[in-house]
Amino acid sequence: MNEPQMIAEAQRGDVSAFNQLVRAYQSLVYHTAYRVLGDGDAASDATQDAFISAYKNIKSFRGGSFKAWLLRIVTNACYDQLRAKQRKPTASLDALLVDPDNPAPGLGEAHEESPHAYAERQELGEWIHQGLQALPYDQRITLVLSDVDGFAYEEIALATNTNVGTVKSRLSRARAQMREFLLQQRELLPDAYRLKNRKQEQQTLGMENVQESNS
Amino acid sequence: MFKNQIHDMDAWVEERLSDYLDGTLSPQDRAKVEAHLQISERERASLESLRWTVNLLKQTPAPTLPRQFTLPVTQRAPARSAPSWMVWSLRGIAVAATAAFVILLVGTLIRQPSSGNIAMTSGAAPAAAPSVMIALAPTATAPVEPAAAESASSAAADTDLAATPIMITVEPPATAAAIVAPTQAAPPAAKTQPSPQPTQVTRPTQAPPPAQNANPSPTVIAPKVAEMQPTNASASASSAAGSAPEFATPEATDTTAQQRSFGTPTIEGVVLAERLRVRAGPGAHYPTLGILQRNDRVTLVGTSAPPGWFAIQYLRADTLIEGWVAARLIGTTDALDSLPVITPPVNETPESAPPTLQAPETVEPTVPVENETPFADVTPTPNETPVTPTATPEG
Repeated sequence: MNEPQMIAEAQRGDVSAFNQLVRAYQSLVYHTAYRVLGDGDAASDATQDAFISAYKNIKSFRGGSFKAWLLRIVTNACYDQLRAKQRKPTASLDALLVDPDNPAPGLGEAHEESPHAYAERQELGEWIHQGLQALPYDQRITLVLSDVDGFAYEEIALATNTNVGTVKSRLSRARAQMREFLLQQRELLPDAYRLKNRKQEQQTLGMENVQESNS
Repeated sequence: MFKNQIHDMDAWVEERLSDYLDGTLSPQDRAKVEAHLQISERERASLESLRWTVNLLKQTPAPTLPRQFTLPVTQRAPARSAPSWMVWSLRGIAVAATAAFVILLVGTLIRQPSSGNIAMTSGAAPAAAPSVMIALAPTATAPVEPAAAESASSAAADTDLAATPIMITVEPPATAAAIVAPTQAAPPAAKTQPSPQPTQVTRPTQAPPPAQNANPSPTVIAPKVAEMQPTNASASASSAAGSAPEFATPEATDTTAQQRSFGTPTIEGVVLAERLRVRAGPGAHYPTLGILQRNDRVTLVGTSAPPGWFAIQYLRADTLIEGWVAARLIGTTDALDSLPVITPPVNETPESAPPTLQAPETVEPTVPVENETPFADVTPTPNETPVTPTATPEG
């Protein structure tokens, strides 16, 4: 069954068909929610809410990119979670539900990189995660959708209820701030991800005039 | 000054580097940026570090999915329609005979003066389901024409209200014998199943006949009649014809012969908790394998050695999942005597010693469920006394 067929079946009320869509997009949705919201529990809730909302509203999908349509629901769900979190910070029961050491079988990410590379990438992920959380919400969600998920400006504008110009300026500021954060951690980043040209780093940081002790 | 001009230009370019990286600048602006990059080492470095940043962001690892986010496939059955398992349990029956039997039974009941008692049972539909089921449960699976099965199930569903007096109609002693029997076999499911004691097996104290007993409905009733009304029972207690002449239609007898050749029916259960953990073994200290939602249907394949846990199977995402669930949170109207006692394999030991603080078997829903009473509110008292024949003859 291809995607349009799944959507058509789901629009007729076929939950199994809809679940195929869920399986196709749940990683993307959860990843987005996780990076935007900053924690797994809220991300789980947002992901579940988004798919329930998508199922309820799937009849309103009138073609085009399902991914972009879903994205708008996801950003709304994330925003709802954010507000709920700010209003009433509670420990989610999902923390009890899932044992991080024993995730449900088959849920782990398939990775073909070496254990070392995998570990380094996880470490990078941690730093990026920290850097993202330091950004204002609008910039953060724009940066995640653009550079982590790879959505187009137009899709991001639609999903975040704004225009392409705003998306561009948010993205520009978010990238600049993320760059500063990552450069500050440059000695702590895994070796594979360090910016190699030291001179350029220093210039970027406005340290052109610093005397290099070892050159 | 020239240097100031460069710095002004740096700022102008800096603002556009992000767009420049994405190739979304207008041709004019791009030309200006590229020209400036030739002369500004600072902006070249800035572009490089920005490119590096975007590159790192693109490599952001996806977090491990904590669980599947698929929606439960088994949707809630409408309150008044026959649940799917009933259709299943009806398979293989000589449908016409069954329908005739049900109608006959209903007709008999309706003629009872106390059929006004219908009003007493408000939860008519859930109450009726087990009673009908007991009458028909020990049938096994065999292909049946879908239309026929449907008509049978709708016939069963139609008996909802009429069949309810089975639970409460006790007045005329002579005929009541036959009528009361199913009551004891199966009090309403909603009342007896969710007993809060984990060790209490979820079945009525007056046990229903074992499901493996492949007798058809009329003969299921017959021994009960003989037991309760020995004086009324006719010579052949094992035959429905003896004690309840109305049921002794030739069709029913034929059905009897037919059904004996079928195998053990599967025992189904329904999740009573809002969300229920499926464990790797019979105990709360085993790892959680998955979550079931209220009204999900599972197949019971066994019970734990000290009772309290059911070994179950269910389909999730086209995969057969096997695990254990707390028996008190599973509703079933089937006889449980036939459930084999299962000891988990040795290698499936708990991940740790039972922790002092165990996660509850029920889980708060992240899914908002509309018009649902919370599970705790419908938890009944542990020992709901079934209506006995001597109770409440009205008037």
